[in-house]
Amino acid sequence: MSVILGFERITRKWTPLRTFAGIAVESALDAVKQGDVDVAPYFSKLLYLLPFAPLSVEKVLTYSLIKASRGYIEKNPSLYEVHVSEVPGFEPDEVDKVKVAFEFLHGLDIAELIPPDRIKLKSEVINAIVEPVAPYLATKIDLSRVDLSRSSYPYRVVSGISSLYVMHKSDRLPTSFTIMMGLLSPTAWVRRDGKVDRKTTIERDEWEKARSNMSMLRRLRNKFDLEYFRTIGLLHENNIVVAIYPRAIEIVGTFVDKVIVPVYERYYRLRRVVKRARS
Amino acid sequence: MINKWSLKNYKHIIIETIEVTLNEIKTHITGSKSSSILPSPGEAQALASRFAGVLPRPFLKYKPYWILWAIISRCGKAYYEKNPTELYISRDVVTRWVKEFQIPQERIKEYLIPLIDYGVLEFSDKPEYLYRVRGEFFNLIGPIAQYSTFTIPPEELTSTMMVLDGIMTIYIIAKAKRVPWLLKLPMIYTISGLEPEPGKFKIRDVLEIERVNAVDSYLVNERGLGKEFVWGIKTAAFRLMTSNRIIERVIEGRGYKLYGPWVRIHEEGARRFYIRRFRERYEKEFRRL
Repeated sequence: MSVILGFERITRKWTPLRTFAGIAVESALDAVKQGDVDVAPYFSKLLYLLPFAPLSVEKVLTYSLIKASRGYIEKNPSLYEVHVSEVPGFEPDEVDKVKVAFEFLHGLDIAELIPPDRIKLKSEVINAIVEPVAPYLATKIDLSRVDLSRSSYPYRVVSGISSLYVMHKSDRLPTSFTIMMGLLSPTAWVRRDGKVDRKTTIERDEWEKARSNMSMLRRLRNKFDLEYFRTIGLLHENNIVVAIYPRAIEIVGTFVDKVIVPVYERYYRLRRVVKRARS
Repeated sequence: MINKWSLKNYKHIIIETIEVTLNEIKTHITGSKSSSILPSPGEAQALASRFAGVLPRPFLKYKPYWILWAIISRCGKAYYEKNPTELYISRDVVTRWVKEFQIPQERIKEYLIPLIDYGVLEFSDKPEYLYRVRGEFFNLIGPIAQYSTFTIPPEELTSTMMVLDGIMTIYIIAKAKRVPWLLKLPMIYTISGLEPEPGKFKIRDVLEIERVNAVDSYLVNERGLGKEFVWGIKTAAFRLMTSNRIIERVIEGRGYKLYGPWVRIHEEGARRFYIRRFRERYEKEFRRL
């Protein structure tokens, strides 16, 4: 059956590519909210790549989420608050950095500032992202011994969720993330009858095609190579690439099932709505 | 919980599944144009790598296994250089095998018989050579084995070797029409999840713990296998399933998510077996009339 929406259509122009990546964030967040916590680690450490976010945000948000999930389990709202001096991983003279992160979180409507030096996570954040992961995090991470520089599994989960939520709230994406979604888009396609087919491998020529399509985009022309290598780093670091065969690359199945297929479904529906509205 | 029909016929369904897999891989790797279940060649390679690490016993002892790898290497070289004389095995080469693999001279025939039985070698059509690598085997393994004639990039090495191993395993199992328990048990677990809807061959892709236990007790109570035997094989089978990524991830509280194409070929195997059985019965009726 013939394909009516595939990776070529998505990677050829900037608007579909950006829309596709934007929907990917929403779908991943939805998957986490529905209880598929293991989707989150594929998005960890993305916050560092967001150009406008201060570098300390990742640590501060991760710590407050860990603390809040303990609070959620113990039904103790005082744990939703974080004090400037208690975030681990900062020297005593780096209070300013933490404060900058506080301001940033306040600006994105994730937390409210409690003067002089506290923040409190908003209740909608608790409902949206702390609730699904709290039972998991509270048993895996000990609050008195949080070490934010570690990259073991539970930390990657929090890191991924915080990245996803900040991208969702600010509606801005790192370029390398957009390119990553473009490179991974050949793993699914929409058939003429509206059903989405999937596979877990990307052929070498599909990969090259997606890459060359994106390198021609005017938005990316100057910085494509740099961002492409960052993307490769991301793919390997977050364990999205499972194996490399002589003529193909295998992607982890969970990512395809939980992120890329829902993205195609939503994107296809969106396109049909737009078309109908135009006609 | 478990599908009794598929468990009752598991031997036939498994053989059918292995044949489906071999056909799929043949279609994609040799690039023939018959229709297929899997969408792309990469998918076929990924599926093949799921069968790696099963073979050495009970089909081949270790020394024939080494000879087999030597033959695969030879196939790769022949494919890369487009040189079919590499595929012929002279008396010289056989004496080298005897010497280098330390096989007693009088027993070499015994070691080569399994390779002939399983369709890897055949007797040569040219009088100056003893054996020849069979065309079917060469076409299947050559395109992948050619990569081993030059340096494979490190990130591809493990997976390429797994693909080679897997293709070889499927080929030999399909020829022998006998599946070792190490592979049979994961396949039985998979087909036990066939949904009881007539006409639709759907297998649940989550392997629940209850299902595993139900299959175990079925094998012990109704098939008369030893309890210790099932337990021993079960541990090894789960090791195979995790190391070959047949189990993709753990779903907490429910069970294990199985690899998609793996489930799909089992569905196809069950479907083909059902159709064949149906046709046989129909033909029997027809003859009686």
